[in-house]
Amino acid sequence: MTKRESGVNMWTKKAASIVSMSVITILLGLATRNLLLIMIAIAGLVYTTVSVFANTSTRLTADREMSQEKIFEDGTVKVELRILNQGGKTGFLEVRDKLPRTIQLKDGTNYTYLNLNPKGATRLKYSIKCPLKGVYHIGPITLRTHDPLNMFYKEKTVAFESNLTVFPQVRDIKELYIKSKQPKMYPGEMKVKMPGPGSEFFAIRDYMPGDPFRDINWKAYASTGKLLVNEHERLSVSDITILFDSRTASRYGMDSDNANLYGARAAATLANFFLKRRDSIQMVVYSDKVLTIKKGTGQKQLFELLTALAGAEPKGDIPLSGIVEVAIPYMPRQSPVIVITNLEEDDSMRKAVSMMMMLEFDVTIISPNSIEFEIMAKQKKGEKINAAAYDILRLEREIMMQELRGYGVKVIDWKPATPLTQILMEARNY
Amino acid sequence: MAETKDDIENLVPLEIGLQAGETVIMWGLGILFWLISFVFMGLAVGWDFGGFFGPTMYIVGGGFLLASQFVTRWNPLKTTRMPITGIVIWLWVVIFGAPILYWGWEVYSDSSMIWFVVGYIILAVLTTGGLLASNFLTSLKIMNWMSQDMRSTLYVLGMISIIIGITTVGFNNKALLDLEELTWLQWEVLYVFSMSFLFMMELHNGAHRFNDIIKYAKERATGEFSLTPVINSYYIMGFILMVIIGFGVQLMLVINFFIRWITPYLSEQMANSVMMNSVYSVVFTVAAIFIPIWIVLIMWMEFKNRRETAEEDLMRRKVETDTTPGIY
Amino acid sequence: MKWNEAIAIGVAILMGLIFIAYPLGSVILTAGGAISAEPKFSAFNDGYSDISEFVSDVESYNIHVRGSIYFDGSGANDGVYDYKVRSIVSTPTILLGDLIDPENTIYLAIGVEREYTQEELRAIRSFLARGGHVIVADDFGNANQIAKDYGVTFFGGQFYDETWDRNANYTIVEAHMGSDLYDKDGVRVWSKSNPVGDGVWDDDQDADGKIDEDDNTGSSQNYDDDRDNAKLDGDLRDNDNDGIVDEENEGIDEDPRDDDVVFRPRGDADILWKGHENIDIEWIDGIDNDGDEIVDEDLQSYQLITYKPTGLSSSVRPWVWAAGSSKSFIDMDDNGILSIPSGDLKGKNADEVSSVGNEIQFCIELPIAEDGTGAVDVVTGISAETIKDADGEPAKYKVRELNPEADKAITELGSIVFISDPSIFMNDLYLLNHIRYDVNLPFDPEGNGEDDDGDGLIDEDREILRETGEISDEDIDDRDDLANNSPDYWSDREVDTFDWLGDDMRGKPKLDYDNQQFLMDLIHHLCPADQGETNLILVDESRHSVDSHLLKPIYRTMHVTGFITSSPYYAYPIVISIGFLMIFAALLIKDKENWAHQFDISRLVPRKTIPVDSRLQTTKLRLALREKVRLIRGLSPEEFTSLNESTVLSTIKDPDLIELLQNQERFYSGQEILRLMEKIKKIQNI
Repeated sequence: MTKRESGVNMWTKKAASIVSMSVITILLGLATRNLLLIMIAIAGLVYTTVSVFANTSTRLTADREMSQEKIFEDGTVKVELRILNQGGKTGFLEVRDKLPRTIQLKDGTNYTYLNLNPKGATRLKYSIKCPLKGVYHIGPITLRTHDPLNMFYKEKTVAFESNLTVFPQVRDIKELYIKSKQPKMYPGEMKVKMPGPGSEFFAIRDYMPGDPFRDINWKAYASTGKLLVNEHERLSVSDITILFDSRTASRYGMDSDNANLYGARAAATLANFFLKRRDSIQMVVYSDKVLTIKKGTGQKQLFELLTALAGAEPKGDIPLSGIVEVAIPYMPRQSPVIVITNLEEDDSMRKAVSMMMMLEFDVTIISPNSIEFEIMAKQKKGEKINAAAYDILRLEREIMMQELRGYGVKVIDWKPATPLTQILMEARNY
Repeated sequence: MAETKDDIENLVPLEIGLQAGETVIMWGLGILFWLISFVFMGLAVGWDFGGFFGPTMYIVGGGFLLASQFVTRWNPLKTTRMPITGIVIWLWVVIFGAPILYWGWEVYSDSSMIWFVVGYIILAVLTTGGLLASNFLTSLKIMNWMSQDMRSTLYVLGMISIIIGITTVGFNNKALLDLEELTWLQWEVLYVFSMSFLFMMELHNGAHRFNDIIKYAKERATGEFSLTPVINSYYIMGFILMVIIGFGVQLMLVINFFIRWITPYLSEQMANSVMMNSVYSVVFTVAAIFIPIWIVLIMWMEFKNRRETAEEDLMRRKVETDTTPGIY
Repeated sequence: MKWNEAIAIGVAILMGLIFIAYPLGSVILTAGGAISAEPKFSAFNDGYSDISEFVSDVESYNIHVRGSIYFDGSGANDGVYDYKVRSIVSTPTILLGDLIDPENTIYLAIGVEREYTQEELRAIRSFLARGGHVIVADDFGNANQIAKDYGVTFFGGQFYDETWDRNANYTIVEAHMGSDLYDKDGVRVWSKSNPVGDGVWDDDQDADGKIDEDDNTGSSQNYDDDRDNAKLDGDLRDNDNDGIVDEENEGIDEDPRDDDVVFRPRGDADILWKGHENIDIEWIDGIDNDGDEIVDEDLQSYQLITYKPTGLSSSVRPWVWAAGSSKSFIDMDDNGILSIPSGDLKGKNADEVSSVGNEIQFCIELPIAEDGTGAVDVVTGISAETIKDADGEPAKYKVRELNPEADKAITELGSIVFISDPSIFMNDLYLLNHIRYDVNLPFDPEGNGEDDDGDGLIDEDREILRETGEISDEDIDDRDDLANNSPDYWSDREVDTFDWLGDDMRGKPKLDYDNQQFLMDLIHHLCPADQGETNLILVDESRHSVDSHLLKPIYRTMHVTGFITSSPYYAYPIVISIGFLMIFAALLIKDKENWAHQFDISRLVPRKTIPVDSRLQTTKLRLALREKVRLIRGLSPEEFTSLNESTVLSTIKDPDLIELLQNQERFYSGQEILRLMEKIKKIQNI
């Protein structure tokens, strides 16, 4: 489709400055009875007036081709923009393929200055790298013409956009020990590796509040005097629920370091791991609305989960308790629930967690520490940090975590410096 | 992830270099026209500059213009929150604009000069303080807006100095006070002066503009495309446009002559008035021509804008219903 | 139609009206006579009441005086005008600027119909202080606005004198510029007790080769002893009708302005010169042409014909160029006869009366101090500070003397001339140069010199009736000009235009009134026509009302423009503030966006509120402490709220923390909060 470029003449700063200068010199010229200044003003005004009519109109067609439409973080996409001039000589034409700020231009250019002959064509080739997950729009194509003296310009937008989905990073982790206490009974031949309520012994660890008494290794207690519990490996296929917090509060920090981004990476990695193990996963992403990915397995489910995570923009303020109330009927009793939240700005946290614990879900909270993200970001930007204020926030967060732990939840405090794998290992060791 | 940002503006401590080769010729022509405008200004006032201040400012301004093409990239604004270059521009105007106001006061007013000096200093300090305060306390950041990179700052300083110079030279210059006494040749000298001033301004500005584009092109897409057609187009189209502008300025002078020729038939009283025989008549001509033109132009632009918006909406709706988004 | 379209169309229609319909309509209406434009005292109209003849005389001054005619085309300054006439149609504030050079400029306000604004008066004051010259000619207008700055008053009643031309409205006033009735500073010295001077100055009455006042050292007693002692009335009337003002020593160069010899006629005009061969020709060129050591025009005396003038008085001693006789008076009560200022007539309605040595002034000049303090007394040379009181000693100047040779170190000051009748500039009177041999005597119906009407005054003394003739019916119908509206006396006489070359003088009546010559001389006296220099005569037309509907808005625009660009109190503040606005606008306009891609993932998103305030911090700390206690005791929030306060406090051992909970009023500073926070964290271990 061809679009005629005949937008509104806009002022450049140069034109505005020259008109300002002319007006000032006219007044000053009158006050000082100065013909030299008046002459300059006349020249400036004629210069501006003539330029209004000196702009050109353009008829262009454009087409964009991308090497990929879905990539993982840090992936590279090659883009080619073909431009064909269908009108007269373009004069001073600027063409740009609009890119989001968070996309990095690796090679070539998405923006150029052209003087195309009639029927002339050119192509812009460039490759982009996307370091952050998200659903991006490449485009629209913007055109700008101006007169030779750069006094007035016309801008035109060609509303032609391509979508680019960037999935959160998926890390490879060996083993992760989050499984349902209650193996799901599959109809048909679905095998459970180790059937029965019993479990394969895995390790002994310290007793933490919330551990069932029957897991206490009394022998070890007798020998060491410490309360230790047995950990069991349950290799059964289970339903795992991930609750992903994508509320506004999750963006605190920097574009490149925040709870939303880190949480999404953790969720993606976990999902990948579980799905490989043929666990079934359902996920709820809550922001200003609730997005539910129904139970499923396999690559297709992973793809869906990753798409949901990529599109999870920090927005809205839905409380967790509301999510839990809605989601509980769909969660098998005692199944593992992983909540990924920074625990910020949600007064319903206690209620939600206690509700889940009452129904004996195996709740793990992975909590990226937004306070530390924010402090780190401010340090990087060289902004002043009010230590006392942040200390109070930290104290509040500590008390909150302590309380949640009191309910018997595994709460993992994720500080920015800690790598993802270590956090997930921590969850496993818990 | 080490890099989080494109650092196009590197913090180079005072790296001085000549600009791109393609634009050096613009710069050279700009300096040439600076010289021409100076000479023709001298001719217009019969080499009576009314002291050293005017020509000195003109030459200092030329020096700034010259330097504005050398300095690249170093940007003192990056390292500090103080709007340094904005303050420099402001103080330059305050300090070197003062003599003009002083002479104006001397001629026009019967009040004491001491009052002027004291009043001016107080006003200047208050205004500067106010501007700085507004910069740090409110969102009205005039100083920041005035803060440009080194190159633009030098360019602005150059233009300001030259205008101060012209103001001083032409201030009550007896050679130009009575239009009736101006010969045709003097008008042409004035015309050449104004046009060379315009050329000087445009060529220096053009050099800056194209230097930026060339630099970007070189950084981003070496060999991908050539800017030569664009620059050639600038030379050719720019020249044609300047010829039209030249005719426009001549036309203004002709209209002024015509107005002064026709007024006696309208009213001899007005034709013989002091104003009609001084700079005022030129300004009246300017006002009579440009005010209607710009009212019509702005209205035309507004209508066009509205029509365009409606057209664009229509087009967008059409595009959205189009099932095969591809070529636009 | 949308509202903004409606506005745009409205503006377009308005612009159309302003730029096309209005001027066109005005032109058509003016041309069709629907709107009559008839300003008085206009420099560029040639109606009877305009001043175009005066203006054209001024403009062609150098042609007459030293142009090609007299110097056979070989004049050094041929083509260089001595005087250039410009009008002010906007406002006198343009006098403030550099547009005009005060020292070579005369500002003329003839007939002040429109009031001056304060800024305009200031402009005139400033113009004068910078050495400019001003002539204010007015009768019953607003001239007092200017005059009061210099201690001068226009009386505002009609001026009557014993001499008039047929009609008492046409009072004849004698003017002297450099007569020995005045001392060398121009102050009138003649009085009854000291009857020195004979009304002319440059008369070598004792024929000793030196004019009488040559050895005048300033004291009236030192006049040339060899004076003729002629008893003269000082009225300069030619009582013996010989065409020369009568003195005993007629024939000597005693009265070079005696009407007939301004310029020597060419060719066979010699017939006129019979009997006057020994009279030196006086050129009004500021040069001592006859080599008598006095610039020629210093010696002029003139008879001015006026029309309904008023009179002046000055609190500062001025140079008096014209004054009434000792029998003149100002008719303040407007009854046409003198009302003696006594009894109940005392006060404002009492007529102002001349007396010997204290005549009512008609035309005076006051030098103006350079420091802006107003008029300078011409006798002492000290500023009279008529404008404002300054601290310290008022400045003293060496004011211009009538004989420039006497003291070369004079201070060239600006000066202001007041004339109490603008009519002397009018075309009708300006060119009314007919001779009058029979000057009418004061009205004495019986002619017996007695007090016939029993009013205590001899009839001819000061009684003057308004009209001595009748206006004919035709003249009432035809009000074309002043003369026609006058008694028929003039209408049946041939009124000549004055011919500078004198070619047309033959066989016609000699010309006797000197308005033209006086005004030319006055102009020349204020701004001498120095060679190679052009003086500017600024006729202020903005004092008259404008009737043309086309010109009115244009003049209004010019007025506003001139006003705001002239005064420093307006011009520079306006330039600076509009400059600021324009720079603002230029700064605010968003430039073309730079389309080079800028990758940035370092943007900071901080939480909206962090507890910076110490009050909030304390409150939050208090809450945290309670939560902590609740957790340690393992209570639910509901249980905790029902808990006894003392139980809560007992959990906390630390007195500081107890105080934190107990003292709700106290707020802690940053350091204390950090310390308390540590303590709260430690509670965990209990």
